[in-house]
Amino acid sequence: MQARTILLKRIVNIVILLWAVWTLNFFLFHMLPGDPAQALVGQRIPQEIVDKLKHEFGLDEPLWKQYLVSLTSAAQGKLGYSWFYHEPVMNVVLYRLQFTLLLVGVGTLFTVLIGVRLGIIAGSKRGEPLDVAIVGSSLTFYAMPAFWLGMLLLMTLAANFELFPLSGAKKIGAIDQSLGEMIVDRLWHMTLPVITFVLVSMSEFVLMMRNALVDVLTEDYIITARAKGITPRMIVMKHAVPNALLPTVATAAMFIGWMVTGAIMIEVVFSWPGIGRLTWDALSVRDYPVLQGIFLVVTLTMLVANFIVDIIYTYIDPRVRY
Amino acid sequence: MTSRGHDLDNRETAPDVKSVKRSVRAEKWRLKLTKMNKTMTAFRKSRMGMVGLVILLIFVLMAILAEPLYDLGIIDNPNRVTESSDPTRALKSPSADHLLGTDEKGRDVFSEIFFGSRNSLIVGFAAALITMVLGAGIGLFAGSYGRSVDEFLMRTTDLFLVIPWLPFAVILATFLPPENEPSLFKIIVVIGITSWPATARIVRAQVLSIRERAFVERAVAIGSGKLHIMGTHLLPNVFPLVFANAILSVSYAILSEAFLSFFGLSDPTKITWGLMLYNSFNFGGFANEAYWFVLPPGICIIIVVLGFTFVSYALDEIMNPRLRRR
Repeated sequence: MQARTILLKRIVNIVILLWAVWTLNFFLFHMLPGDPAQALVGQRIPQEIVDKLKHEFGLDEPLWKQYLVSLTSAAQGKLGYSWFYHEPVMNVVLYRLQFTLLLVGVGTLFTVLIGVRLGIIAGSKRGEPLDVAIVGSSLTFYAMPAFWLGMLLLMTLAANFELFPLSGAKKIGAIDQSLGEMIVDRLWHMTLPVITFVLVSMSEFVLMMRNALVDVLTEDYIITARAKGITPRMIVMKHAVPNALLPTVATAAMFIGWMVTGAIMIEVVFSWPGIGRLTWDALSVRDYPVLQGIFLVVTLTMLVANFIVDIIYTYIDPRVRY
Repeated sequence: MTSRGHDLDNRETAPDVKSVKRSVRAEKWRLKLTKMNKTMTAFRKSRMGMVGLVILLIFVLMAILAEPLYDLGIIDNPNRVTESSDPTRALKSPSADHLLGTDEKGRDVFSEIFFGSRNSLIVGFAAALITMVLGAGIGLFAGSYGRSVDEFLMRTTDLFLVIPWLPFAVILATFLPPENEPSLFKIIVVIGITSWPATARIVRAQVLSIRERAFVERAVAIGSGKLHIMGTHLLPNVFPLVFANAILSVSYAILSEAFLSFFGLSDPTKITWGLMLYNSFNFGGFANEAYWFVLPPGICIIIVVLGFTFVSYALDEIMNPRLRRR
């Protein structure tokens, strides 16, 4: 009963945030100097046609009316029409979103697994050379622009040693692949982007896990455990790690945005046909509706991701009971 | 007679009050100075902090020296394309003439690094300043102006926190007037207004705890106004935190600039490290495996970001009492 009300509150919160983001988006677009109809058809079109177009698109209506109309259509999932692809924005963005979710999903899985693992190693060997090495290298990767790392990996592993494909998500001209071939092909194309993604987004998890573990290891109950003669390994794994995981998961939500940013840039470098590459393409042809659609869809995805992290958190922390 | 008496009285008491005021002020400054000295001594002991500081000084020096070195003829000025570019020398590997080779327009990469450090640092510091002022201001107001203000400001902060940074920054950079006209100033503004929420949250949390202390209660009791309390009691107490945070946000800003430049949103005539990477990716440096052109800007970004991070960590450790016992 209580769980349901809080869940409901969360969902209402998400809807309100989405509306706020959408409104921000709407007014940003209307801050553009000049008028959108002119931008759509170009400069040399006679004024009557522009006016007719304006009327057709409802651009001669007062602002509040335009706002309401586009709000209702946005609520139905209509985000406008792409100037470049000549397709509804929603179709374009959703098609590309699959690729991004694939990259981010697989990448996040490895990021969390490897990051937490390295954090545990560093935290339990605090001050030793291994700790210094792990923390040092994670900080270095953290300070690295994701696209630059991608460029370097491409230049060395793909171009020089020809171990990996240079770009894209599948072999060029691949039409009648069997399912097995397709999966292998996809994985092969994904390897470098995923490696880049894991390397640049891992550091947050390593550092958070390490610091949380260092904190927990100074608690009294750890001393008690040690006094009882439990092996150091067991102390870390059974007594310290579960508690250190809590703050790590709690703060993980804050880095979802950072990881999406990283993924977007990685896609550009590897020509991965996801949201990031779409942003890049839309920017180069000034396809504003698509840019705005990306903004909204990515926001929604992030809100949902935050929501999921929240739910996971309530499961692993018994003190938070809804 | 009586009026003269008044005058005399005034003359006797006035300097007295003044001197007391002066001595109070002197005492305040003395305390501030000793506190600063203590911080400095503690900072000097932190090896991480000192390494970071040295790194930063080197790069600041590079940025300052770029123009004089050009005047002396030691490096080129990549901003003056007509003078230094030469298509026949495009993408040449390092040589005695060009220590780090040349870029796709035949400009000297080594000189570009110098001029790039200037613009990258300017963007970093300016954006961090905006972040600091906005974040500290909003955090202070939210923490000290009652529930409804707090609620409104914090919901706004939440909104900005959930917005995916890169798509939002891209939209801002394209839509902010003048439209389609990339400029460093616009990049600075975009980074500034997208990165204050974290600072605002930290400041607010700190303000909420300071507000409960006895000296603030005393100030409220003697009838100090809210703005006065904010300025003289709350701000000085959150400032160390804000400062450590601002240094960290310089490094974020430098990275963010590189991201935005990589999307072609920065002024192509103002060399920054991000712009260099954009050029190398788009105009042949990357495709021709010109390591000398691709590596240096990236390495500079890493070193500078690490430098700011080190300094910020060291300051945080000194000023944040929660971390000190570790």
